[in-house]
Amino acid sequence: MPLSVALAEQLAQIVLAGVAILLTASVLQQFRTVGPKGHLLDALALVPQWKFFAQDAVGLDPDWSDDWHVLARVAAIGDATRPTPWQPVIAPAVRSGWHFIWNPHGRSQAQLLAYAEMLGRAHPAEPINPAGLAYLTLLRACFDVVSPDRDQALQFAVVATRGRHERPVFLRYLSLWHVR
Amino acid sequence: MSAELVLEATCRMLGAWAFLSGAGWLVDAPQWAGGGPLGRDLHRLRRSRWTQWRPFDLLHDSRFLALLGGIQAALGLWLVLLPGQPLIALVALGLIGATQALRGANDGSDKVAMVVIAGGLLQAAGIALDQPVLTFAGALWIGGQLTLAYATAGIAKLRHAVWRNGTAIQGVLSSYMHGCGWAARVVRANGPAKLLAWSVIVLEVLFPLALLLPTSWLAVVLGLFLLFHLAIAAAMGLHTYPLAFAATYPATLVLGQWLRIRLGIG
Repeated sequence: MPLSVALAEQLAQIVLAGVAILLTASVLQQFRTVGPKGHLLDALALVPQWKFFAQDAVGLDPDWSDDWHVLARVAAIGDATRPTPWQPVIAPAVRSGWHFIWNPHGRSQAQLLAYAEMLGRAHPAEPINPAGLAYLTLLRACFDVVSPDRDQALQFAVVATRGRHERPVFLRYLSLWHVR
Repeated sequence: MSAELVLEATCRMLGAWAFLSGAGWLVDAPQWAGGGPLGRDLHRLRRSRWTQWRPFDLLHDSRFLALLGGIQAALGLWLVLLPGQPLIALVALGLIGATQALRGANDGSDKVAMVVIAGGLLQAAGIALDQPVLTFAGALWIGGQLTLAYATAGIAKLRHAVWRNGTAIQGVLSSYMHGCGWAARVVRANGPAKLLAWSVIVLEVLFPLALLLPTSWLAVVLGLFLLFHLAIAAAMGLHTYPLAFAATYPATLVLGQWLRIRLGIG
């Protein structure tokens, strides 16, 4: 047997062993809470974790399947007593038949709604950092949509709605007032 | 089933996924432009060493994102039209997938596709080098991960009372984010919701046993799962999932065949 063929066979066996090791690690990964390094291995699908719509939070929070919305309003600087009515800025898109095969904005929309959910679910004992990424992203989205005048301040709210029938609305987070 | 045919079928479906996903990124890229809500300039405010690193800017540049999407779509077309020459396309798709993973922007279908890309590469290398062990390693990786994905998703659902009593599926399909009008009507009553929830749980939990079925029966089971993913795409808008999962099925048939032979039931 030529040396190169023998070497290729040995390498193939090593690769097969590597695949078996990664599969075993993947099985173990399903029972673990994933840390930062685990997140990268998960995203690269080297040691993935599979829990489609059955994450650990499911069932623990009564609001885990709520829809998240971001609303904004403006008021004259220094007089927040007479604000404008709330205006919708970010909301889940109503599903169209096309989304079955073509839904290109699904990712960016999901990202914005994930930030809204992050603020909406924040524990009252851990105040939101207004310099944090989620807060600033939503604030910028609100300024883009509402475009307040220079003498106006803007405030946004994160609200949750549940279901399609009675659709109760829950206020989950209220921001500070901001000027441009 | 020859290894070449299995790889060709895998590549055609992976290619269709890559085209759809890449074209989606191309269209969605302006949403991630600097100065916009999802712009990279906001990410740079996070003062970690990673976000201050120069390549981070490139990764989060919307023009780069559009370029990646365009290349991914083109590579997808390559795999659909020329599935017999997949090596370079698979390597390039793997690099694009890794880049998206570093951006933290990949979803479940991207993860499934990454599994297929890695397994497809092993299969292609095995065929090119005439190393059946390497070809099998690719099938083992893809089929093993699919089996693990279905079983874990089923067991995770089984653990939650809200899945067992149907309220989870009611909640998800009645939401605007993950549901739609017709799906919400289907699960409005508790009976159909519970039936649907248990159908999903049983199908997913028992999937590993399906590997022991004769190939034609396993193909029927995988066909059912494809219908399941198509229904999810229609109800939840997760349009890239059916193709990503379908790309795992040829290798899973190979794994099932191998398993039955090893166990003496084939």
